[in-house]
Amino acid sequence: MTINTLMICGSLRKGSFNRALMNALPPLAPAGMTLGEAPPFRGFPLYDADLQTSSGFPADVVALADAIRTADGVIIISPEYNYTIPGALKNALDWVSRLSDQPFKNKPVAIQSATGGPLGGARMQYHMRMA
Amino acid sequence: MAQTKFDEKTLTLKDEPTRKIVAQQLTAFEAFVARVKG
Repeated sequence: MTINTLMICGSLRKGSFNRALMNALPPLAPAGMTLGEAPPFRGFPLYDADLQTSSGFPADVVALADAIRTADGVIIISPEYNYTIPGALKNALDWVSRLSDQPFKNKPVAIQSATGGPLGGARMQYHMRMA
Repeated sequence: MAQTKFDEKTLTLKDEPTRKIVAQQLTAFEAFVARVKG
């Protein structure tokens, strides 16, 4: 059995340690696991229920949601910004969570973070579990 | 600290103990996903 895993990087920065960690994962994975990067969420508009009502879900939101649905599991690799989840990532999670067919329903999720601080992104990880 | 675990220029994960821990995490996650998937 092959386990198809989706990787979502919470940092938009090219030189991000979290992106570097994400890039390190495929060669470290066991033979039965494949890892692919999620479609980008950089261009998502700020979540607005009025926008959702008037225009529906943007195509790139649907693309990310579909990728999450079809994956067997998801790994979120994210930094901590101001003690919590980076805004762009939280916005992406807010968008995909509004779809009627919840992409994260019963989905195994792992969280990783690479930081320059002593807490290692622990507060982001704690908040991610709540989100 | 992340800055000590990655190569400064290539951003390759160079710290061997970290690589081993991450590989163990992936193996454990694979088993967990397989159990959930049935």
